Amino acid sequence: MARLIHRWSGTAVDDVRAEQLGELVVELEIDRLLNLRAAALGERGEDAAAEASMSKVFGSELAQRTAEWVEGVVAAVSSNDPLVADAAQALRTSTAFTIIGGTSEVQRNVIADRGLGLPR
Amino acid sequence: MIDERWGPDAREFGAALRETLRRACPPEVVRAIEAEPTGAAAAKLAAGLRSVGLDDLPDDPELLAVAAFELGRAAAPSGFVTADRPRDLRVLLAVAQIAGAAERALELAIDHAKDRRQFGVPIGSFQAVAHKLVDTRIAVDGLILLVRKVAWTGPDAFWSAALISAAVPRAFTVARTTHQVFGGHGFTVEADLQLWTRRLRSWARALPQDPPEARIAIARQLLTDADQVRALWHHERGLALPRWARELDATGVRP
Repeated sequence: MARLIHRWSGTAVDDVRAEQLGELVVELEIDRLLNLRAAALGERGEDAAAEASMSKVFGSELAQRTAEWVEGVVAAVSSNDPLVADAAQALRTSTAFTIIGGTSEVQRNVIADRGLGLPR
Repeated sequence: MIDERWGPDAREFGAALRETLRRACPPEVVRAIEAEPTGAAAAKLAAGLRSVGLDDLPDDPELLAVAAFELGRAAAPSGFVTADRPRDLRVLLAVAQIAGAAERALELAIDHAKDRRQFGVPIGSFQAVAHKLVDTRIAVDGLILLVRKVAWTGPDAFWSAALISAAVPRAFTVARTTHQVFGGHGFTVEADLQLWTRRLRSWARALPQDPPEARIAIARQLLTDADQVRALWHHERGLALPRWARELDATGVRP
């Protein structure tokens, strides 16, 4: 995303893409804050089970959305462009993010149990 | 390492205000003030809020934001959030108030999912219900963390737009999912849930930008001022284009 912003800076970007870019930037920042929260809780020795899972669910699903979008908007540029190749690679890799380290479904069960205290 | 909580002063004031509001602003009082906005109930609540020092807060975004959050959490009818202040500070407080109301509506829905039984079990034990609440919890937590971050770094036009982009869809998501979890119970005027969900929707609509405008403004600023991206990927404050992004892309062909 940072490379896309660098690539696009100073060029004409239409409002539709600008809106999508703006939304993803905000959500990426929120993902970063959810990550830092889990790390900060861990640093203080507090229970971060639910918070870590929240960060994982949100981050992995956002990574897929971001990769899909970036790959879509750069795909038309050129075939021997490293950004196009890396975006395609990121899209393929991101498929695994919601599966590895506990699927999103399992993580949501953890959050329901440890975070919200819902009955099993 | 960062601390994701409110600062110590804000934490202390927030706790005192929450305790005051718990006693002075239960749902019955919110309803009484809705029925008669300038009546005795409104005067009593205003006096209670004055006694906890709401009118004498220093001009510190964190203290003001924690106050707005707690007022939203109690659905407290008060002119505090809409008072005349610089534009970006007003946006911060309005979004903090939305975050507070979202937090409370979600707490009500989670409690309901624990109590309400269908098919012999609490409805919160069904994944279809639990996962909806989990997603809403993640959405609300993300908004609260963003509010605290902006309260800490100080509000500006860029972060106001970020708050609006995040808050509006989340306000509607919370209103929608909490009503869904309450089923027919939350749908009536007699149920307390509507005190929060009506406010969530109207407060979200009252923000000075709509989310598309806010997002386009964010993108335009990032695209014209690459240094602004600095704070996005910065460890301490968040959001400058990292060096590797420029170096990696230096070999790329500009379209």
